[in-house]
Amino acid sequence: MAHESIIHIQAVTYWYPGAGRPALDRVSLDVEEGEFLLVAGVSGAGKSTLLRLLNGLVPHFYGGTLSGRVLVAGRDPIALGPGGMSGTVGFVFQDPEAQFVADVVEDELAFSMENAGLPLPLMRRRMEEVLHAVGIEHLRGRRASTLSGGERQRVAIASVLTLQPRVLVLDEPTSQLDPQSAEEVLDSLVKLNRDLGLTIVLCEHRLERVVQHADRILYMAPACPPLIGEPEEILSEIPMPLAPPLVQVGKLLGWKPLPLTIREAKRLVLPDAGAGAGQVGVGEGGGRTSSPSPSPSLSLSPSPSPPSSPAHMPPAQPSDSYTPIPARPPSISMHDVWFAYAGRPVLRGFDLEVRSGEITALMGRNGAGKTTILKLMVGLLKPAHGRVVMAGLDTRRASLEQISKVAGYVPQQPDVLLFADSVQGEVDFTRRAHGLPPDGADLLARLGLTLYRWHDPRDLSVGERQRVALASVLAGDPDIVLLDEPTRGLDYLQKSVLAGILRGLRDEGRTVVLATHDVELAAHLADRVVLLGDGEVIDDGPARRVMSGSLVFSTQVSKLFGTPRLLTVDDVRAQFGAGAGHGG
Amino acid sequence: MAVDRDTQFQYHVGAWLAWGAAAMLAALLTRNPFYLALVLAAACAVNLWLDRPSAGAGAGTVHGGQGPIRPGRGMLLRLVLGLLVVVALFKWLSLHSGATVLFRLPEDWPLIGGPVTLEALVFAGLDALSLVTVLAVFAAFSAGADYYTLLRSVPPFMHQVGLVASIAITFVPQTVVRFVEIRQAQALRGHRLRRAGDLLPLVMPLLAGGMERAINLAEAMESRGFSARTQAGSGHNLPPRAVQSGLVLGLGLVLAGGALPALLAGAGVNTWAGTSWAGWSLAIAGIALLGLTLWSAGRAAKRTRYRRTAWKDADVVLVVVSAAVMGILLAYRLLSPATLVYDPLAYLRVYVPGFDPVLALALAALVAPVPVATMYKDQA
Repeated sequence: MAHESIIHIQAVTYWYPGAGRPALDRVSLDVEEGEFLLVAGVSGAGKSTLLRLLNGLVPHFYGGTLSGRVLVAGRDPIALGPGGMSGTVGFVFQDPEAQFVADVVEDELAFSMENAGLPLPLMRRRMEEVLHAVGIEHLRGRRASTLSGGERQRVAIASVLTLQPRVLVLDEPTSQLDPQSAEEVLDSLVKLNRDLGLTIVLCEHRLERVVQHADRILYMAPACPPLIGEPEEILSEIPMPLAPPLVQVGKLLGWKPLPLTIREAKRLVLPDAGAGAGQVGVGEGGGRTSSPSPSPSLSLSPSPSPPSSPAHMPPAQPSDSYTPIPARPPSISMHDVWFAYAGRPVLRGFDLEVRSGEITALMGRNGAGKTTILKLMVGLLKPAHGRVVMAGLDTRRASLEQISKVAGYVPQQPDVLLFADSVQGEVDFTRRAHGLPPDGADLLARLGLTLYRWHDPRDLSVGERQRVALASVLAGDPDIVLLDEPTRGLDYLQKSVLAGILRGLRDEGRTVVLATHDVELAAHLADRVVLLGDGEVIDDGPARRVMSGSLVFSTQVSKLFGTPRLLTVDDVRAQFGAGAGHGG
Repeated sequence: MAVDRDTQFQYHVGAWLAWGAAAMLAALLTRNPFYLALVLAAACAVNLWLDRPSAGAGAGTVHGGQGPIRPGRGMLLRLVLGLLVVVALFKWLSLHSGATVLFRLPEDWPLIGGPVTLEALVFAGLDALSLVTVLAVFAAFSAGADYYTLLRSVPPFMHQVGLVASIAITFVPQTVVRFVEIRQAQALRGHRLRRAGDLLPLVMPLLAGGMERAINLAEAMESRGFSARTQAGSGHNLPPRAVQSGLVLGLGLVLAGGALPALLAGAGVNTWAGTSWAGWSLAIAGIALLGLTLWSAGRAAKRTRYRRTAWKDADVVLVVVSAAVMGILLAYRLLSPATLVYDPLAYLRVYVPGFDPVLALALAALVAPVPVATMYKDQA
């Protein structure tokens, strides 16, 4: 019994009620006590199902048929159900808002203990211990409604730890959070894992956030057996677009072992750190030549500011202020805009001009005012003072009907728009509302939705629903498209599909504005990035310059190379050419 | 975090209930402009104290004066006040009694035609003041009440109901926010509300979203050991059949007790005094059986309760003050009810309302939550 694993899953096959194919097909898994296991894979591969198996939500909550054996800490979740497992497995869900039962943090933490019938003195002791372990003592008296997303998720973690579970299971706990909040949550998890030896099973799309903390990765894909192994091993096997950018660069350049952290990768970029010469290191196993045009700009600059190097590409001149290549007319202009929510000022004299035919990304932490700006642009909110003009319409005077003819708005949650019983129905509704003849076959084809034309949108995945929402907005043929946080909950593949669609819109001459904290998406896609902080523009310019100069809103590739010329994996591929690309 | 210590102050739910009861009693029992003004002033002071910036949403403390109806409170307030003005105006014009005629409306106007008097004006104004006072007291109480604790302070057999109600209350503001989101997004998509069918794009996403949230929440609650089933092995388990028969029998007894006198009378049997006694005893037996069943069923669920706030000296003081106010009010009501009431219509003329200093002092004491909190804030 020396090597008794804490989680033991043996040949589990599970069908949801009425499903055509099993969600889990002969899955086996063993997890050691104290391990940090990352569950990765494309949407619909059964990740959430696997996690819910661990505390009996599958099959107790969902029904369906199940065969095989599951043991968690010696207990059988299939027999005991989620209630019986609550003392063994702590489960944290994706949506920080939909798992709160109480108004005040302390009551939230007490909920599990009250259900378990713990005596009051013990509850008080556990309360203090858990608040301390998660580092949220200062939040104890706060109302849930006043917490940020990151704080909420930490409270959710704390509230399941009060029963001292031996396994903590988290289903995409950071997918709704901005980079900083995600880091807060992950730091708490890493601390719990290291200090208390808590076993952690976590499912996440944005691998770059988590891989460095994981002991092993379980990779799941539909209709093939899951892979499990050390992070380097798994990352080198999974398909390219699913790997984090750092790993993709490592693969391109043939680095071995694959780097998981920027620190590890930096050593590979610059094997001879003392000399500071601009050579890209090549893994010993690879033995290929380095970049065809080694340039000093590849050396590492310790400061976050980009090095001033002669650049080949016009936008790469870091010191220049932003000048668009062709001088385009502004499509949306906000001048001296003031706005307050319930007495709390959000914008104070805000100025911004969005040029037509560009993709502009508004970036900033949650609460920096991104959504407010989008809503002001389309006249859903009116400025208390100042002017917002969109496509020649003053939003204070124009009616929503006029605005809706030129602008489309995709809200943060696509579900807000979806009501019809088919994808085509959504498109028809918008076209009817705009007095356009029914159509949409082209549009659906472009968005990759032809297959789902007659499906109920609510049966589709998050990424597909996002695209249906986009289709329902584009059906009105707007010149300006605004998207609020369009990559919430999307995996790498769905994100790149979305990026392609948005680029297509730009190429048709439409103006695209997106509010996002998704760094990789903005780097990939945006012509211009506007960095916001506390309702003010902190930086504004081409994505390449703004993002390479930022500490937080900067891509992995940019952090690694420290030059504005290399921001995305595509840049690296272009820079180092085919020679590096097809070797590994 | 350096939070102003004052903002952390919170009364125990019991103490707050006592204050709410006293203030509500005062608002309902008195009909004298002086006394009503005093109660209104006290309620407003408490409201302001709860609304003070350091306790607002920004600080986010428990006692932040952030009742669940907070969003849209301004609109609600304006709506209610507007309605009150309309009602008072109508009352003034339609009550034609009183000696002091101000002017006359044409007699052939329905309802409001006839003499319009000063007495009616004072009466209608007093009515409005009384309603405003009741509303102010309610607003103060609800702003300071910790609904979660309040609802969970119900007896064990009502535990589930209380919990569900407390969750439902937190759902309300979220649903309002979501509905606004949906309406805005659909409007920009070209949606216009012209006929009943146009409600679908607004209602469907709201329902679907609500369902999804409810399912997520149910999952989270199950995972944290909340279960609708009674837990096994707690030693107090009552078989479900016993619970069911207890409930059915109890309800049956109550109904039978209520219907017995009527049935006997209907059957032509002479009703003698004993019939109603028999009915009452049946009903009481039924209620007792219901209570007993629910109590034993509640005992079966092995749960404990976490108490965030303990009784502090401030709570004791608040309860004592509230009890004293209620005592004085009830004493006046029983011994000299006329003191509490001012009625110009009864005498057909306007006169100076009475003013009793003892009663006035008692009513002024309703402001207690504010000074008591300041006195004891070190205890928070």
